[in-house]
Formats: sequence, structure tokens, C-alpha cells
Amino acid sequence: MVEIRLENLRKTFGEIVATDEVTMVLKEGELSTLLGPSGCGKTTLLRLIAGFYVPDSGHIYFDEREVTEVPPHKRNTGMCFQNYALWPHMTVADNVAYGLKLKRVNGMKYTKGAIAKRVQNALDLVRMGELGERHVHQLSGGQQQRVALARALVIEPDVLLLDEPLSNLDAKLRLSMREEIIRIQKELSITTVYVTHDQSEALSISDRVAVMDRGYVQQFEHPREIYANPQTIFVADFIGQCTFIDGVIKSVGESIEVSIPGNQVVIGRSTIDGYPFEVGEAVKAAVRPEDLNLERERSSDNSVEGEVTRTIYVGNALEVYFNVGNIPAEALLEPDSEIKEGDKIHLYMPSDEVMILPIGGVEALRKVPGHPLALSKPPSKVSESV
Amino acid sequence: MNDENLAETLEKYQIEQDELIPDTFRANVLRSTRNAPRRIGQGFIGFFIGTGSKAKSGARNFRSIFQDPGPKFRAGMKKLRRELDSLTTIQLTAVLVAFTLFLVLPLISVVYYSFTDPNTGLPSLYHFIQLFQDSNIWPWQYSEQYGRWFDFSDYRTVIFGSTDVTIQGWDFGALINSIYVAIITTGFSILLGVFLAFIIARYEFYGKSVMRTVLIFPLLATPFVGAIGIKAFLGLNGFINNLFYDALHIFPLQLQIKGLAAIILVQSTSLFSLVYLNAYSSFMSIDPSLEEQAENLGAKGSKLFRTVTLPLAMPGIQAGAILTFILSIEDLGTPIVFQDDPQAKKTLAFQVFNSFSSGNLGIDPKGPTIGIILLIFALAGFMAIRKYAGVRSYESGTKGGQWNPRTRQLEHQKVSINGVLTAFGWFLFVYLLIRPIAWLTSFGYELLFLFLVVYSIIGRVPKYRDRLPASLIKYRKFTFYSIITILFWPIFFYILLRSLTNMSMLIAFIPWLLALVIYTIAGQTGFRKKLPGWAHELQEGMPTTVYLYALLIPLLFIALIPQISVVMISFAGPWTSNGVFPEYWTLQHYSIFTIYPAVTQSIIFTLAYGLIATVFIVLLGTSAAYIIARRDIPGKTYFDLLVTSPIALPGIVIATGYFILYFRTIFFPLDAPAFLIIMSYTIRKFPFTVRAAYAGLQSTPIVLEEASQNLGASKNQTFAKITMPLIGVSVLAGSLLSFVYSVSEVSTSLILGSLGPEQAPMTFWTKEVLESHSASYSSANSAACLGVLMMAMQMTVITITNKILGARSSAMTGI
Repeated sequence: MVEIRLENLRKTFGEIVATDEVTMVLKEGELSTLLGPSGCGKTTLLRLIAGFYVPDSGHIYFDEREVTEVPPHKRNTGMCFQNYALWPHMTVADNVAYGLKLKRVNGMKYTKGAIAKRVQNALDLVRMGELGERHVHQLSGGQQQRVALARALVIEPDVLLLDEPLSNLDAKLRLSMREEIIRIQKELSITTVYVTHDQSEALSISDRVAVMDRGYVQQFEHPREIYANPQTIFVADFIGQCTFIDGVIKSVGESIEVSIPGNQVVIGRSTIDGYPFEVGEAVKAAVRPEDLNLERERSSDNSVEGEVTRTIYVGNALEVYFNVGNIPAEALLEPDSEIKEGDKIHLYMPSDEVMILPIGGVEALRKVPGHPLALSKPPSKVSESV
Repeated sequence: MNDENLAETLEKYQIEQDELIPDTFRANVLRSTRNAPRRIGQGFIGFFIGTGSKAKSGARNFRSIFQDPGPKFRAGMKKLRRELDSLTTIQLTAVLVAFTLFLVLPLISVVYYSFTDPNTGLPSLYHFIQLFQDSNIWPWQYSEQYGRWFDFSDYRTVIFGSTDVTIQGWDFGALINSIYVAIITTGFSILLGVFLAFIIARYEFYGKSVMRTVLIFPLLATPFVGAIGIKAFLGLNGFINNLFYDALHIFPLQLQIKGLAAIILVQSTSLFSLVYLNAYSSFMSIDPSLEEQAENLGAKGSKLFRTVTLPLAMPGIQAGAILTFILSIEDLGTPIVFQDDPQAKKTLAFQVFNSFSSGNLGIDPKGPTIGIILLIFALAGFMAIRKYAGVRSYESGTKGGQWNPRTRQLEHQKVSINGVLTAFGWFLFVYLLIRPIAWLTSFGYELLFLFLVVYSIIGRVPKYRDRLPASLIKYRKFTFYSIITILFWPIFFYILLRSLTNMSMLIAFIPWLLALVIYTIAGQTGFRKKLPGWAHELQEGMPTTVYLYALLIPLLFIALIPQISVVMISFAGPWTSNGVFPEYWTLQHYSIFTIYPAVTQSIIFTLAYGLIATVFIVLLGTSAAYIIARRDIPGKTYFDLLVTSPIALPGIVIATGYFILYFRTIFFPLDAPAFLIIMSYTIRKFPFTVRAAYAGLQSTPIVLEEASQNLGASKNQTFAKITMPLIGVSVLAGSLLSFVYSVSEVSTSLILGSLGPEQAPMTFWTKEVLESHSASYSSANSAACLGVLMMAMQMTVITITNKILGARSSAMTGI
């Protein structure tokens, strides 16, 4: 088992910065997800780990071994490509056996019998045991996905790399394959990096999630932590629903008071340990729809007034869209609430559920003492580094 | 690695002790020797089982056609009625009528003619028996008169004269000659084409786009034009000999290539681009993640190429190779140019042409009979091409994911012992090829053989495949010592080569040996100072690109010899006997365009024929492509086969069929072959437009047409207003190709032209000019001028089409 350490990685393609200032430790035996919208640099990061790209700067370590410049075929990683990349000129068993035929253990190679046994075991593991003699084009999408997984696993890689492995499957198959991947990963307890743009997939499958945007890792934490304490506006917005209200800090203390338009004040908490908020700083107050209540629960609760623009009944809840001043907001209320379009409503939000986030995303995080981004150099212009 | 370490590893990966076998050279050889008999046996068994099951399924398919024909036929007719509207009916009928009249019937007439006994009119093998009694075709003949066998074959390949050496081919009679020439040509084409395609497809370097265009030129300058140039270029007093023998004294003897060897050279340098184009398209269409996956699992370099890249590109390479084989075997132009050597006449294509030499009086039955043999090769090859081209489904199959192109910048090459030996091996090989002195003959080939054995043994040892020990190749630590190391072997070979012509040079080996001794001693004494800084930088700044150019430029030169030589000869004034260049350059040969009315007329005729044929091709070809891509008529596969088959069918056989069937009829009045020439161009160059239009239709989603119909346009209106504009560019590319191939068409033009010189096209008159012995102009130079005109037209067209087609450039070969 291997721990992957990334230190201040940067990769550019011409003028485009694909990923920058990535510093993170992927713990051994854990499944870490790279999550983000398309073009955020997550696949680039995965390919850096696999060795298909060499970073412009920074270092990659597998345990103590530095692999930054090691070519892909010497890294002992098992990768599943998004399109599975199964070789059409080989049978399923040949596909799986390929890596084993090339593998040397202390300069010795596997016997044919040993290869056959391992291929069968790997196919059994992904529940494809009987289909070894099939050709690739005779398989369904889900089956191809499993073969790709078996092929990556059979070489007993130090690291398993999965590039959007479920994106080509239909919804139902996706669920069952997800379970399959979790099962196999736990069974072999292999360090795994999983790339996806589907947030529910990321939250449900991972030990840790790295949320990425525009090449930067915005936050790398346990799924619960990501949801409860988003560190940037992007993370709060990308994971789950959120209503943002612009405001200016009025006072900083145990909790933070923020003046918002319409002479109102909300009280909230910081999600970033150690971020130096200052009075007068422009911030956003973020609140998740399910944290808004019709009844006041505690005296410290914030209250907002708004006019309902639309309600949607979704069975177990009522989605209420309303305007606070000109800011559109969203609340998730009890399904039996009798609220109609045009009503004026009064809603309460507990002060520890209101998240006060600095404007500026990753730039703001640099102000946090001890944060990885604070330690790394500020970004230089591309033209200088090329 | 100690035992403890091993035990730990085994434990970690749960490997049993007996599941591992050593991967050393000795163990691998022992194992493979032990297993060899069993594997050979299995191979045979597998082959027979495979063939058996194929035959069985073939028979089953064949039987199923005849089972229960009634309902199937009715269902087919019903489908046909539903699919055919007025426009489609007209299109389909027109294509079918044209192909029946000008392809199918002529071919059937050739078959009928050659299987008929001329005396009785009954079916017989009479003509074939006659054919094999001709010593030009089959060299081993039994003579009744002498009561013994005669052998007319000729095994001499390299003939030494006093000051010259002549290289020719073996002569086994036309049948075997044609086949072995085609095989060797195909072999060279594969080597050259695949290598160049891989470099172009996988590496980024300066001048790549120019090279991409240049590499396609050979395809269009048909062997015929190139042969004119090469013949003059390589002759005893040609450019090459004057440069390397007379001026530079590099060749110890004058070199002359003639006969079948010359044909192989000309065809290889022209036809390799068929393989190149198809291989290039195949390499470009391999999903990069397939190769990346192999790298991820531990494959690299040649292993990656052998196990993944090459198998995936194989269908394309095979299709290109088979096409090369067919075009080589049916090539008429090259043997005609080299016909002053009797050996060159002993090819199947020339023998067919020869059978017409009696002119209007009739045809020697040999022609059609040989035509049948050519037809068998062509049809078998064509079916194989279609099979491989069909396997190209490998290409697509991507479902998202990133397409990270695998072109890469060249890196500094790591030198391995294996690499050094490879270079040395080639050096030795080339040397032995031009080795002129008899005393080496006795063991030269054995030396090469021995070397290859040693080389391949060493190549198997993994250790030597890796980098050389740093001390040997760290040029970055360039020392005076290492420079001497590098110089030693070149000096050795220089002395060796010089001593071939001058034995006294052997004495030079004595100082060389002395130097070697001193060098070895000096090496022990720390005489290894570093070079000054500038040499340092020079070494650092020399990327692999330099090596690549060192390799590519000679290759390109060889590939472009036909073009270069034709252009050069067209401008060349008189040659002094030993001058490298002519005394002066001149434009006077170009007066050939105007001084002979027949030639001038033929140029105009050719353009007219080409244009008319192209109009027919565009009208019929687009229709055919539309029917194949968009209509579901029964027998569509066969229709597709029919309209694309002319790519492989020999022009000389088609011309023979025209003669047998239509001579002195309304299609082919005496001395007036114009109509049939146009029709032969139409049919023969049809596939290029069909394939291009078909490719265009395939990349145009059918929903675009459905949307038009949904808004109220009829099928015909949709075809005119939506489909045609969308596939217009593809059709343009295809029609340009059809035009340019028509203009440079050789085989039917020569045969039909010889039956009516008044209306003959340019290629026929190029041949006439070449063969004429008029005092007023030099025949080869003037013929080269006509060749240059043709090439200029072709290159313009090819540059345009190459731009349009991009990576789909395999369409240029018609597959």
C-alpha cells in the first residue's frame, strides 16, 4: 500500500494553466475523489499521478520514492480510462493478462499457469468469470467497465486510478457498479484516486473528496466536512444547494455579524479555522435551504423576510423560492406548509448554520496560517514560467 | 536481490514459489527450445481446425442462399418497391447500366474468350495450355524434338563488368516474375510506408506538414512517369553514376540497375505511398488511451508497438499492402519504359500489351488468357481489402474521455548497445550490397549472417536493451578520450573501403592497430580531460531531430527520386560524358508541347476525356454513394462491391474486354477509341468519388435530412438542397482525385490508344515520344517534359485534396 504525496504541482498547456499549486496527501488504503466541473483540471491531475504528464514544477511521491519523472510503465499504477480503453484485438482474458505478462517480480516472470490463475481470480472478483473468451465488442458497457477494472487490479498495483469510470453507464448500472467499486476497494484496501464530476457519486463513494475549480484544489476533506464546512464559495455552491447573500462584516467575535441589504443583520459562523476576518470586509453569507425554518427555535436565530415567487411540491418537502430584496433565495420546508406564490414569509435560520465565506476563493485561503496554499508560492504568470 | 527480500515480496503479493520463473536470457532460450515442438504442433492443429470451421460456415452461408428462395425473393421485392422512388430508380439504373456495359460484360467476354477452344468453339483450357508452352511465360519447357527439359530461367542478379556492375532481377518467366516483383515491391513499400507513417503520426518536428504533402506525391506520379526519370537518372552515364563514380569516386564501379530490379525500384518508390497513406490514417485513428493503458500496465517502446499499436493499425496496413501488390502486378508503364532490356518484357502486364501489337488485325489469345490470371489475383486481393477495410471498426469505439494525441516532441535519444549494433548492422548490410571486390564474396554474406546471429542473441538480453553504462555514452562529459573512441570505427571502415580499390591501403591498418594499443593503454592512465565549454553546448543543443533528419532526408530522397529525376531531365541540356550536371539547363525540350500537332492535340484530348469522365463520375458516383449510405435495398453489399471493385481490377484486362466485345461496333469504330477511353476512365476512377462521397455522407447525421423532410421537402428536394451541399466538399475532393487519376491513367490508355493513335491521350504519346528516335529532339528529355506537365497537375490537385481530407487521407487510395 502506498501513500501519494503531491507537492506544489503545476501543469500548463501552452497558455492554459491546467492545474496549479496542488499540495495534498492521499493516504494509503483510502479512496480519494477528485471532484469538479469539466475543465477544472481533475483529469490532468490524475494523469500526472499516472505519469502521462510530467509537471512543470512540483513533486510527486509514492511513499518515499519520488516518481515525478518516472515514465508511466514503471509506476505500477492501475488505471481505468473513461472509455475503458479495452484492446479490440484481444479477448477479455488477453486484455486482463497483458499487464501480468509484462510484470517482473524480482526479475522473475509469472508462469503461464500463474497468469491464468490470476486472470481468473480477477475476473471472478468483478463477477465476469465466465466471459474470459469473449471479444470486447461482444460485451455491454457495464461488462466492459468491469473488465477494465479487472485489468487494472490484476497487476496488484500500488495505486488504482479511475477516470470517470461510471460516466458511460445508465443510472441503474451506475449504482450497482459504484457498490462494486467500493466493495473491491475495501476488500483490497488499495490507495485509489477517483475522478468524477458527479457530486453525489463523490460524496457517497469517497473517504476524502478534493473539490477542484480552475486548476486549484479548493478543499480536500472528508465528505461530511466538505458539506458542513465548505471553505470557499465555489465549494458551498458546487456541493449541495446554497443561497448566497452579499454583505459586509459588522463585527467579529464568537460569531460573526454581517450587514446585508435592507438594513438587516445576520449572525453566522466561519467555516475556515483561523481565517482573519476584518470588520468592513465584503463577504457572502451562505445558507442551505434545509436550514431555513418557519418557526423560531432559539432567540439567537436570524430572521429574513421575503416574498414567495414560486413553490414546488417534491413529495417529502416543499421547495420555496422567494426574494429577499432582489436576492433570489431558496428554502426547503415541511411538505404540508400552506405557502402560495405572492405570500410574504418570515423565515428563521440558526446562527450556527449560516456560513460566512470570504470573497476570493483560493486567494482568500492563502491568508489562513498553515494552509497548504499559504505555504506555496503565489502563482506566477504563465509567460514567465514557460 | 537476496533471498530474504524475495521471500518478503512473495509474501506480500501472495505468490507461490513455483509461480515464478526466471526471466534471464539463458532460461528463456532453454524454455522456448523445450516448448518449440509442442507449439509448432499446436499451431498446425489450430490452423487446420480454423480452416475447417471456416470452410464449414462458408458452405452453410452458401446453402442458406438457396434455401426457401420464394418468400425471401418476395420480401426483397417488397423492400425494393418501398425504397425506390423516382430519383433513386433513375440513379440506380444508370449506375447499373454503365457498370454492366463497361465493366461486367467486357470482363465476361474475356473469360469466355479465354476458355473457348478457337478451333471447335467449345469450352476448353486450350489457351492456358498454350500459355504454359511459351518460354516467355513459363521457363521450364519440354522439347519433343530433343526429348529433354529446357530451362530458360536466369538466376544472375549481379553482373560484374570491367568498370561497371549491373544489377538485374532473376528471370523465371513472366508468371513468376510478376509475382515475385510484386511481393518484393510490397515488402519494400510496407517497410518504408509504415516507418514513415509512424514517424509522421507520432512525432512533432519542424517541417512535418511539408513532409506530409510531399509523401503523397509518389502516389500520383504513376510508376510510368517516374520510370522515365529513373531510367535516365540511373543509366551508365546518368546523374547518379556521374556523381558518385566519376566525380566523387565513392562507387568503385559504375552501377547500373535494369530489368526486373529496376522495375522493383521504380514501383517501390511510387507505390509505397499507398501503404503510407493507409497506415497513417490507421495510426491517427487509434484511440490514444489504448496505448496509454498499455503503458500504464508496463509496456514501452517496441513491446508497446508490437502488442498494441501495430495490431490496431494492421487492417489499414494490410489493405494498403494488398493494393500495392495488385497495382504492382498490373503495372504496365514501368515495363514499357524499361523494355530495352528483354527481362523487363517478361512480366504479365507487358505480355498482355504485347498481344495487341498486331494492331487492328486482332489479338493474340495470350492476352485475354493472362488477363484471367491477373483477374484472379485482383479479385482475391480486392475481397481481402474489403475484409480488412471492414475491420476498421477498431477505429471508433470511443465513448467520451479525453483524446490526448500521442504526438510528441523528439527527446534526446538514449543509446543502447542494441541500438549501436543495429546501426552497425545496417552499415554492414549496405556495405555488402555495394561491395565490389571478389575476395570478400567468399565470406561476406557469412559475415553478415554471423553478425545477425550475434546481434539477435545480444538483442534478447534485457540488460543490453537498457542504457549503456554511463561511462560509455555520457557525451555531456565529452572528453578528448571519448572523441578518439568515436573516431576509431569510422577510420577502420574508411581504411577497409579504400583498400578495396587499392590493396596497398591495407598497410594503413598497421598505424591504426598501433593507435588502438596506445589508446587502450592511455585509457588506463587517466588521460580523460573534459572538453572546452563550447563543445559541451554543441552536444547539449543537438536533439534527436538531427538524427531524425539524417534518417529522413535520405529516405525522402529515395522516395522522391522519380519526381526529382523527371524534373531534372526535362530541363537538362546535353551531357558531357562524365559531368555531374548537364552543360547547361534549357527550356527547349518543352517545345514538344507545340511542335507536334499530335502531341498538342493529345494534351487537349486528355483534359477533355478527363473532364467528361469526371462529370459522369460525379453524377453516377454521388448517386451510388447515396444509395449505399442511405437506402436499404436488397443486395446493397453486392452493389457496394461492384462500384468499388474497379480500384483493383486491372485496366489492361478491361481494355482487352473492350477490344474483344466492342471492336468495330458503334462503341468502338475503327481508329476511334475516344468514347471507350472516356468510359474506361469513368469506370476505373469511379471508386475514388464513391468512397469520398460515402465518407461525407457517413459523417453527416441522417437527422439533418429527416428534419428537412419533416418540414415538407420531398426526398428529391432534400437531396438537392440539404444532402448535396453538405457532402459537397467530400465530393469535390473525390472528383478531383478521379480527374487526376484519369489524366494520368496508363494501362487502358496505352492499349486503346494504340488502336487509334489519332484520338489517343497524353500517356500514349508520352510513350511514343519516349520510343521515337527523331533527330530533332531527345526522346527521354521530351517525354520527361510531358511527365512534368502531368505531375504539376497532379501535385496541385493532391495538395488541395490532402487539405480537405486531412487524417482521412487513406481515401486517396480509394479504399
